[in-house]
Amino acid sequence: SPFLNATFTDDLYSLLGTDPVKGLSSDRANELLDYYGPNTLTPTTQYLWPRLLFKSLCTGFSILIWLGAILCLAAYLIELSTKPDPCTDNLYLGCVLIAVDVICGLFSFFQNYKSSKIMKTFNNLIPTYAKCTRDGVLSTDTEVHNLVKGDLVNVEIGDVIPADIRIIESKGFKVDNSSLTGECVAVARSNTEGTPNILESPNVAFSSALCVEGWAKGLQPTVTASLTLTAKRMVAKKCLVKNLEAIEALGACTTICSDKTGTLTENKMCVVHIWMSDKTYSVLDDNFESTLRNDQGFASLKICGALCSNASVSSDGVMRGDASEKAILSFLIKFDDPVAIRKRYPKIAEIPFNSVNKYQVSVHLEVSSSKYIIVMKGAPECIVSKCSTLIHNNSTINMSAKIKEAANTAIENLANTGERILAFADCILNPKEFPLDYKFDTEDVNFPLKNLRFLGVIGLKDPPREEVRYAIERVREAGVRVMMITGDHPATARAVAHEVGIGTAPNFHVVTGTELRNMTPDLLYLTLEKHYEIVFARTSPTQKLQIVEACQRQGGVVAVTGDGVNDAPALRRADIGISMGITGSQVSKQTADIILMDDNFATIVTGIEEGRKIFDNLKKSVCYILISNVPEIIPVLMFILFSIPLPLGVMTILCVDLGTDMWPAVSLSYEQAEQDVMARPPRSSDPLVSACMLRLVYGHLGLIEFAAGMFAYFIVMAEHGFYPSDLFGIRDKWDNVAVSDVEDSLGQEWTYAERKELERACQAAYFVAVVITQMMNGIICKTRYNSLLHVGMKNNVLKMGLLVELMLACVVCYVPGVNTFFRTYPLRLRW
Amino acid sequence: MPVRRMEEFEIDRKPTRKPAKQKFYEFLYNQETGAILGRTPESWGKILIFYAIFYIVLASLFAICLVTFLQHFINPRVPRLQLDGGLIGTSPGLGFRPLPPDERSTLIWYKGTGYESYKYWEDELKEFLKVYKQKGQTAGAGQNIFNCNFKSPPPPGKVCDVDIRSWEPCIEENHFSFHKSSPCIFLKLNRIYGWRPEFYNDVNHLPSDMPHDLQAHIRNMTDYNPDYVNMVWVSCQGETPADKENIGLIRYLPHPGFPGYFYPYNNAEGYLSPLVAVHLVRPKTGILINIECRAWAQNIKYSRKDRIGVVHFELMIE
Repeated sequence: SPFLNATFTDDLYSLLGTDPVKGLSSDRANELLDYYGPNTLTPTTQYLWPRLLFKSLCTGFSILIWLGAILCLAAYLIELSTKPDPCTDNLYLGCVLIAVDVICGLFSFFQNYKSSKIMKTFNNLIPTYAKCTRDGVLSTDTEVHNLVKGDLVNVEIGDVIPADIRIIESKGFKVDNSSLTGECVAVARSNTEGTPNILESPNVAFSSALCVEGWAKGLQPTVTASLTLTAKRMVAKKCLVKNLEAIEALGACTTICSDKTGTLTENKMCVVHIWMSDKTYSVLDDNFESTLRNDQGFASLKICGALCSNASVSSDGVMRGDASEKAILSFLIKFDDPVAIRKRYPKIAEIPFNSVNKYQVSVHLEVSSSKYIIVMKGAPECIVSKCSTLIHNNSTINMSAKIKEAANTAIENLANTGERILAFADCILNPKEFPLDYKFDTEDVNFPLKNLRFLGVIGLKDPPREEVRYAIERVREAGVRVMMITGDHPATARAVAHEVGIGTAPNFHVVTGTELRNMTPDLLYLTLEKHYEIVFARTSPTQKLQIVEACQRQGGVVAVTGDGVNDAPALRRADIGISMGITGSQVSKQTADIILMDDNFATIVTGIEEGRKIFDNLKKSVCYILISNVPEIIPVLMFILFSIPLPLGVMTILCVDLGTDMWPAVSLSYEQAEQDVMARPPRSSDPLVSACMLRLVYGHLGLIEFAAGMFAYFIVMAEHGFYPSDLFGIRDKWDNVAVSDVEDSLGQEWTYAERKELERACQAAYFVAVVITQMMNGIICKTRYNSLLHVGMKNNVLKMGLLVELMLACVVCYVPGVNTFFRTYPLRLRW
Repeated sequence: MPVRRMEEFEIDRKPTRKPAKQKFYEFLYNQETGAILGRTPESWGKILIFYAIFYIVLASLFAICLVTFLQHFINPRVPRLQLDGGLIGTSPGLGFRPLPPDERSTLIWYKGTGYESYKYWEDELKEFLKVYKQKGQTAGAGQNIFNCNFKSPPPPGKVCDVDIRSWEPCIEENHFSFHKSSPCIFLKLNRIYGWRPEFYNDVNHLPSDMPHDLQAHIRNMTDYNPDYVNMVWVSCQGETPADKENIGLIRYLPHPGFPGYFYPYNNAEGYLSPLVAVHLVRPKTGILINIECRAWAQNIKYSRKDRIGVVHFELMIE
């Protein structure tokens, strides 16, 4: 298309009706904005809140409640029209049901509403302002969604690219397209010939790709996206759960397929080793500094390192630049001020790094001695071959074959631990050959690039996060298998896996993408069976998906972490997709069930713990609620079979179910995790309601409650003169409005109103007995595995819940009006 | 013994899927583990023993609690909670006999002339009054009978006699006058342990809503014998003006009230509730009459809506 292919962009300008210097006129821009609409991604369909509300009011179980309520009201209306004195029970019941439904609906609605709000704040993370030239004026506060086709946009280092742009002028411009392609290598972008594939076309930078390098218009501190994200990280330290089931599934999770970069590691390079002359120094050693204090070789290395770096330090200590250069710089800053060094050695000429040379070289003038110095940084094998001398014990010696070999071995060793290695060399030029007015030419090199002095090697790596090792230990204790799937080099992968504890055996299995390509699904399945500790390196997104599927074939519940767009299929396929809140792309966040706000693996552990806790507590709640079913159902059976006056009315049943039981049941989910929650293997076939639990609930606790209730019932009856033996079979007379003189065991005669009052009192007694035993059961349900003394009564919500339950029971019994509503009766203390 | 060698890739063998039928049979009896219905006999035994013990303990605990309570806190002759202490209160209700066969209705309905039609009502009344007629024959009960009057209330342990034989025409031999379309309805006051009526002592200040004929009757009776002031009075009338017209003349046998010496009720052996036979002398036939009977004492509350201190029934004679 002309849009991509036009290297001479004149026709492009005319095509877009814009000007390379002045940009669009604002009138034209507004016109275009009206025509094309705002520069935003088409958002996923967002329901308006009434619709959400409606949805949460009418789902699943609540429909049943609605039906019940409508039936009740209909029955009441029919009664109202046929009978002069209708029974208000149905009206009350209907109202209560509707109230319950509405309250539950509102609860879930607010839950949804809150989480969708958080999602919205995520969407707002894309930059809100862009620097855009219109009418020849550069303004920094053009809102991104107001950008139109043809606008001139300035992008600086650290900016998120606000729109799909065509580059017309750039310097050292590189973009990180990882959120689109999943590759974390920054890609150079400039105004060159385009390729037919728009995704790979080097002259297009895509919206939301993070510009990591380039100073198109000079260096200015700007608000970077990463700062925003850091702020965000500070705000929310936990993981955001998009759908609540995911966290529950996370509790049952058996396998975690984790990314390396960013999740297990800090995604920040740092210097760990230095090799000089014949020795490897570990930077982390305590006496590292003192050993090398007076070493000249180290001094030269420092100078070389400071000069061979394009990373910069701003006055407030913030560094910008390539990850490894930043690492070197932050390492050097501990010993010397690189800025001061750079001042002492102003740069004269530079050959930048490219993948053919594999080195970068620059010429500097040593101001103090008026000598030129050449510094070089690059791939070790390349640098070693260009060196003839070597600095050793403060003197320069010739580089013999033996030394070269030693150097190569050291380099290889470092590489095997997964470090990225850079070698440094320098050469002080003879001032006679290269006087001060010598013109250095970088195109047609007129200065020596051979026979340099070898200074040393720096090993860099992305260190694992501190908390990850402990986290993985805990996860493994919890019976969850942790696998690493990374696009990195196998050696790096192996080293990191070993370090964080994914691979504990010395020779754990590492599968590379190439090997994986040759595997049949069965073989992959087998490999997974055979090797518990396994690491996949150099894998492609498709292979990630394959691995997830293989794990699921094993019957596992798989959690997958991923941040790129390319991870989306794996995230969706996984039982629990976990995206990264910071580095994660929009798509991966939308696909994921859980978003780690801090990109930290340790948060997953919290998630698992949380998930198991939630499942435990759900079981507790369900158990608690089920218990009261028994003392609600058996009285009705007794009423039918033995013809005793009804011990528990419909309203009281509802009152127990939806009133007094509610808060304690909910508060059980505030229970703290039991201590051994992470020491148990993941539950494999443990449904929420198991036969064992039903047995406990219905067979034991429920019956105890029922016995307590009946005891209270019989006592109230007996105190009033109806002895238990006389109650059986009394129902016909008892419930008969026409009979106004039912005789009790003592010959007293009771009118209908008196009997019903007595019945209400008995029901209230039964109700209170059930409430009290339910309170006990609430405490019993607190724990599943640990003993109560162990756990203690730390759950304040539950304590409150139990108190409220008691108070509610009192209100139901004693407050006039309320007790007629619920058909209960004030129990007197004397009884 | 040959050592079974683990074959390579054996682990790959997936468990073979069993058909549902086989699964079911296996559930019934699993040969491998010897489990019947998912449990081995040993396990079944254990669980049954556990549950047996559990339920026995639970049931006995329940029983022990109840029995202890009944034996130590409950007197078989005296209610634990009396009058206002319990829910029965201090305002007795009224009951009427005969009761209709239909559970929920209070309608006395029969054809004036057919014996078959009023037989049910007659039998019902006979059954109700049996205890009053047989009082001399029932063991123990007869000995307690005491001929009470206002001057001589029953001594402790004795009960007052109710002589229903003299209540002509409301007697069994006369079919309780049902056959003459002028039925007798029997009223009784609900027994409440320990309840003592508070009589209207001042006949000149009777409640204003008391029917005038009753007021006149009371004055007559108390003129004749001042002791008659100690009565719980009874009045019956139609509920609506139309009913009042249709109901005709009402006679009360033996008096329009229950003599005070029957109270308090102390659950004495053989106690007989005092009765009033309401003789509807000439009620209008072929029409439904709503009748409301009310008991009168200072401590009997009245509310038609809540049916307190009042009894309601309908009469329909075809």
